Amino acid sequence: MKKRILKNIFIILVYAFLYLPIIILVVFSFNTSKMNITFEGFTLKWYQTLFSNRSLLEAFFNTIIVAVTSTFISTVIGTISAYALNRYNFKGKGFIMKLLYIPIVIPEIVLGISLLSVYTLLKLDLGMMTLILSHIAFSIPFVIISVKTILDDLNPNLYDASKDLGAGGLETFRHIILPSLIPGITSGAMLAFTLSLDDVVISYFTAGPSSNTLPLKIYSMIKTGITPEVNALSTIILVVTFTIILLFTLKQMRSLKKEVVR
Amino acid sequence: MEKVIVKLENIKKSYGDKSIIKNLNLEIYEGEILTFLGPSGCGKTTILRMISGLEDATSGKIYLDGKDMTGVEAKDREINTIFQSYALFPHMNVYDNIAFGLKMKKVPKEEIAKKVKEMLELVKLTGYEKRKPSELSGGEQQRVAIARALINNPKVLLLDEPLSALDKKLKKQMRIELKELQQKLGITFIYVTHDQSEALSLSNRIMLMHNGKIVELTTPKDLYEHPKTKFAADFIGDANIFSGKVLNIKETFAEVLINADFKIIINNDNFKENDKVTIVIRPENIKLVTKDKDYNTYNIKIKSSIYDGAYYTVIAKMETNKELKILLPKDKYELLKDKDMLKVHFSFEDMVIIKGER
Repeated sequence: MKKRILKNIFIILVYAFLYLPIIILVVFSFNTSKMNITFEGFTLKWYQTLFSNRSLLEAFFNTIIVAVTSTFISTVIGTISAYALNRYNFKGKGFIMKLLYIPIVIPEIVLGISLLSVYTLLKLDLGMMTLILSHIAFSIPFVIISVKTILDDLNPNLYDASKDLGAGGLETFRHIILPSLIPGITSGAMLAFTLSLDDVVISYFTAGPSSNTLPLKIYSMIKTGITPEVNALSTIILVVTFTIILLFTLKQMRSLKKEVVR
Repeated sequence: MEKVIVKLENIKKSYGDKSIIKNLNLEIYEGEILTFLGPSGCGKTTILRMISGLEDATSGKIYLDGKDMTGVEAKDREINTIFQSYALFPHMNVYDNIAFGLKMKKVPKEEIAKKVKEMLELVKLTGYEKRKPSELSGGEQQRVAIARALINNPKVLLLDEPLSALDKKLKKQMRIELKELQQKLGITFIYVTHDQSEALSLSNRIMLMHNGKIVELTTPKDLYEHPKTKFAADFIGDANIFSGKVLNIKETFAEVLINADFKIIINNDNFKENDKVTIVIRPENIKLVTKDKDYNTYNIKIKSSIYDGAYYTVIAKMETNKELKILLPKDKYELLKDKDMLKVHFSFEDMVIIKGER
């Protein structure tokens, strides 16, 4: 009995540690006072100022543009690369596979600086283009790995069966392989999208004055103290991501249930 | 003269230095079920893949209906395969799986629908169109695989260990279904298996293989009753196999020495002294006798027995310490099991004699 109470207290403490800051953040976004110390009254004015803050909105749209483009391009490149790495054997394949993990484990600051030096060397002006290129660069390995995991588990006889039934290489990829890869591609793309959405370090080095993103904007805003405006913004981001994840989980649970019923 | 539908001419296949198929020549007749039988790694699946075009021969030629298939891709050959574990497309339902081949050939939609319906009737799966492969039992998946292959109206159907994933009872049932299907459609089946009982019950001819070579190519009955090699006798069914040397020849008989005091008399077939001979006798052909016969009567003791419903397989010890497998009907075994000593007789007609040591 005593053990159970202790266990419950422990669980409550862990969850409090994880979620209390988030709850506080949300609560203070509705605070009338500018100070994040005492709650003085309920208001929605911070949300209003947020939507009239042009530079913030601009940063928001930049973030979305960068995230969508870099996710799309890195997903396409990553999927094709994963297919090649799975289907063909060539010299140095093992080495290339290991190289994939380097951008993942390397400190972001190193990647940021090295990308910046490449752009300087190539005399590329920092802006949306360099930002998108950087995000593509760090997203590709994640896509390759999540797609390749599925490819490696695919029954190799499927390729043969498809050929045997009169399909060429391209048709086999389109009709047989690609549809089986959808879960891997989706999870890879989701990963790329979220990574791009909240990236600060690499964006800090590779963004230009015209291509401020939301995380960078927030980062610069808190230098002058956290305003409830930032809280409001964070709350919106939180609600959106939470909804997306919830929808995905529900969908997954439904397909899982179907499988169990079988 | 039967029509040759597939012909393999001097086929060789090697991976790097490793030779898998060593100069194979084979003619497959239209409408037959030919089985490639052999232990795993004997090259039987490799031959199948070369016929289907999924693999190229290192040298040699394959003809389909008289046409040289060299350089013709798998997708363009009028041959279809049923793969081990079926390889149904997991994201497609039964209808789309079966329709795939015709879709690739750009057959009009209405015609595909008609053909799929026919196929589903043929394999008794009408009403299963919308199901996914994961929602089907092993036997149903097997039938979808058959329908998916046959809808293309192939000249030859290749079956790569198609029943290996099924349980024993279903296996027997599918064997009968496959054979009936083949007789109904008259399509040539080339069947790969390592299961000798499957090969015996299904085939018109069996090609027994070992280490990339044909050991024997003949009918199941001939292969079982008159094996020409020790390998065939051993691989097909149960057998008691004794190897020895011709000790002496007495006109129409030859006396074969197996070991110290174990001799078997066989019919003389142009033997010379010291010729090596292998004698094969099937467990069901060993006769129990009450009195000594003129020749080949031996005393045995029952050591152990395995119950198999209708029959007992008895392991007995001979006086010369050799073991003997005997198949006995249940009632006969129960009558004899308590006897201390039994007598068995090897008659001439029940022994298969293989010359040499092969």
